[in-house]
Amino acid sequence: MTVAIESAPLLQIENLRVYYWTQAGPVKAVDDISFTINPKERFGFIGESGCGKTTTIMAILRLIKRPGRIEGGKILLKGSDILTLSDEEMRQSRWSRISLIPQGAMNSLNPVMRVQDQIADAIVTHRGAVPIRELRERIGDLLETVQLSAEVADMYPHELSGGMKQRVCIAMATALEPELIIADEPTSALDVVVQKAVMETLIGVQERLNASMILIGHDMGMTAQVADRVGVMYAGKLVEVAGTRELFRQPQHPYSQALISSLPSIREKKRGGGIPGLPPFLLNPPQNCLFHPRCPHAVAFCQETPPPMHRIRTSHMAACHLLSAPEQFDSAGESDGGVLGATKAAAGAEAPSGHQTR
Amino acid sequence: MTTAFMPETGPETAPAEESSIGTRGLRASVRYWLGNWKLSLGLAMIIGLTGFSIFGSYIVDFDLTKVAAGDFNARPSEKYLLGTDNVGRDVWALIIHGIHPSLKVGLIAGVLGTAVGVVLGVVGGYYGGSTDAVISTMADIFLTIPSLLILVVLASYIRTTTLEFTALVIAIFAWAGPTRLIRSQTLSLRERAFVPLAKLSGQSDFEIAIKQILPNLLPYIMAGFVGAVSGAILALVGIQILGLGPLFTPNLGMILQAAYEGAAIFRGMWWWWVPPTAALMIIFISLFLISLALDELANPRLRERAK
Amino acid sequence: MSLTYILRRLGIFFLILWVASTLNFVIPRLAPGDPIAALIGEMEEQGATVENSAELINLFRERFGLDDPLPIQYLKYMAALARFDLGYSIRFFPATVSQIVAAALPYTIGLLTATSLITFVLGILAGALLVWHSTPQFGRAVITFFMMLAPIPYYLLAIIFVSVLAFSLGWFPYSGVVSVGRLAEEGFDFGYIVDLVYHSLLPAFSIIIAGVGGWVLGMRGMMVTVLGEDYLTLAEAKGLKDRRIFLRYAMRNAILPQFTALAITLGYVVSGATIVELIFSYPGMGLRLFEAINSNDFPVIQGITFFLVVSIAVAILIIDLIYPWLDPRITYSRK
Repeated sequence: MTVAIESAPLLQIENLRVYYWTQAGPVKAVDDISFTINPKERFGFIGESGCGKTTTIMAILRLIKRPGRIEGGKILLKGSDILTLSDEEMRQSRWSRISLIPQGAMNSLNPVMRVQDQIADAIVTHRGAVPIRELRERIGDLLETVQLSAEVADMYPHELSGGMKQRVCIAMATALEPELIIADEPTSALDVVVQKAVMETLIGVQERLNASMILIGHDMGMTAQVADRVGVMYAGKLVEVAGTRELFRQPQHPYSQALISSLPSIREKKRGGGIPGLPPFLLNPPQNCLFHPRCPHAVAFCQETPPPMHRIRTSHMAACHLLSAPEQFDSAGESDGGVLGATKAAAGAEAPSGHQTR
Repeated sequence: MTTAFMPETGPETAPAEESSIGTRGLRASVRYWLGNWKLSLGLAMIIGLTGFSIFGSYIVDFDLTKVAAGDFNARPSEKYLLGTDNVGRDVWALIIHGIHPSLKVGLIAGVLGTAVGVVLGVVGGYYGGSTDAVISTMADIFLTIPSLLILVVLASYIRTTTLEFTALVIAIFAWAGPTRLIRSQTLSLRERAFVPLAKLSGQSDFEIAIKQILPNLLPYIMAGFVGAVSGAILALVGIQILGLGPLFTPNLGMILQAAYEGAAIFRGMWWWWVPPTAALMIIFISLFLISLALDELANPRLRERAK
Repeated sequence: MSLTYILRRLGIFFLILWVASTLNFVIPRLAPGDPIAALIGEMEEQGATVENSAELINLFRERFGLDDPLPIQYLKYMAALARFDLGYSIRFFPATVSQIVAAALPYTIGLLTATSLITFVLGILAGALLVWHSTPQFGRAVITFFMMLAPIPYYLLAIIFVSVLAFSLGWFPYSGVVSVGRLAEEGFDFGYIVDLVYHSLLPAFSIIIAGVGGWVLGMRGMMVTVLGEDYLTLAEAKGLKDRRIFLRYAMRNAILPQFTALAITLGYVVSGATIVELIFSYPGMGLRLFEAINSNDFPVIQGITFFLVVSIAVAILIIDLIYPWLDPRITYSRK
């Protein structure tokens, strides 16, 4: 399922850092992450809440609010860094090049404006005045692409169900045919049946536009089905990136392993468990490898040196000393903690030891 | 198919926000309050003014506030610190003896109004239904009908003689504001998780109201109280300027009314009208600062903005 | 808009009228004895000459049916009110209360409608700008200063203005509605209007300056809430222009609760700014009310009070009825 790299990447994030400046010091919400998104690709983010997924995408839109700040790095959209754009240039890029399907679609529509006016707002701002007839027709078409009737255009948000609002948001996000659609938990507020239908609509629209998509899923199973590639985030770091199938079959980073093994699986008749411990308090994070306090394989070395991103295959990278410095683990006498063991454990029938909830 | 370890918490972009009440927020709150200039300045002003008036009352002879106690229309001098009015009362003595009675009226009406407001607000907000409908409709009506004018009508018939009685009359209208404020907050508190939890653990409604709801209402109760006090003083002075207040106990409204009647402005007798005006401004501004600070306590979002 | 919604609002409208007019009925009767005779007697005691006092007393007895039992009196009183029959002024007999009100009303409405609307617009804009991210620091400082004036009663400002601007500096006239000697009958021309406006400036300033802060406060609170809403984030993500987000998304939503307050304020307009009118000798309802109080002209006091209650109730009714148009959610929730 992995999409072959056709051409230059659409989006390249290089060493992006976003900090929130609190009175007690900086909270490194996104700390030195790099990844790329190819044209037409669907890229999924997984990780526990608070690990920096939403902050990352808000940084891509340059919508980080005080006390947060983008501290460094590059966000290259088709090769040019959007962090160097002026505010006005950035405003023009939003929606026309990068659009957002927000996390809380329930409350993301202005309650006192008709659906039509809210969609028209985006079109008119970026494309200039359009004759009203043409505009209405365009909006009707857009609504049709998300399986809504044209009458919805004249309704107010409170007259719509959750699924309909979400569809309106999708229609709105595609109104200007952007190159990149960011979907932040686009289905989280919906019930399961509607979730699937909305997701199908979203993918249909994305494919029709040949747009790329970043998808943050609250539901890993859904992400696994939809995304071409997946990035795993932990405490503001990107710990693993791989093709979806490869990641879910052979997760390399202990955190990914734990995350994936916690998924309930029908085939194996086991219940999804949690990962013991809590994500770190980012004001005072652990040294170097942020996951070591919860990691079953951790050795002293993990606290001493930051793990580099290790390339396993062309499209599979993970940041763990198990991969980049396995000798450290051998010397520590951890016979079952090597790469091989971990991989086997994740791919096999059993979760790695120590991952079960106590 | 949701994963077990992803709690659906708020947006992760939000930095850890200290809760206003609760164990974790307690120390932060104390630190916050010590550093809040609005609260410290407001409290300092009102406490300073009250102290000045109460201690001053022991030092400055009350007889100086009586008619013909000194010269008429005297300018400020060593003998008369703030001059005298047109009937020979010493303005300095009037002010010192006049501040605390005005504050007392505000306090009486404020305490009564807030007490009634808390009881009705909690009952209405917690039980809901027809009890709530009656309480909130009455509160709305009392907020709508022009209280000052009704007070004026009432005062012109009853011609109140004592400040305490005036305070009681003002209290008739002082309960509606706090009732509405407390009711809406109780309503939202009732929906929070800890109330059903307390119910499951077998606490009675009364226990829940006292132990769970009241502590969380504290900032709103204080805000309602400050508002009621300030509103009561405003109403008192309004009634007095119209010549309907008690005329015998020295107080700020009375001094102002006398200054107006005596055309103090047009006779250039600034020492007569400036001091009561200034004292009233200090009272209103200090209460306002305190209520702003309380607002920020109740609504942390305002705190962020206020910095 | 549904019928139940309208009926509900009408119900509240009549409830307000009923409570207020009943208070108006009850209060005078709390005083022992015959209120009318007591009134006239009191006035005569004070040395006022009441012409035709016997005729007046009879008229009043008839009007109020004071020999009837209380419930009948109450019904008659209500019936008279329903016809807007507010009775006679004691001081200016045989003038009716309605005539006195009608004479004072234009001044008050002119002064206060204008100032209330100006205050509202300034306050709402300033309050919204106070918490808007692109407002310059200097602007915020100015707005904060005016916000700090919110707790100061307008009459204190009026006193200060009269003293400084009118008395000490002599920039403004400090009393009356037009220059002495100029009468409306001599010609209601441009000069007259200029004079009228010039005389109204100082009272207007004191009302506006004292009033802006309150609106700033209310709007600031609502704005802060709205700025945290998801639809604001999305509006920004949509790349809308700053001004459009401010007006159509933020202010448009934050302003909704302020409309009710505006209605009440406009309703209060007819009562006049009693104390300001008093301080500036401005011949509006407030001054009439003050005179009525000083001369114990109870029918006028009660009449003005009742008139005020009606106008507030009407204002609230109107805002309630147009609210669904301002906030589409209301219609829905009442369906």
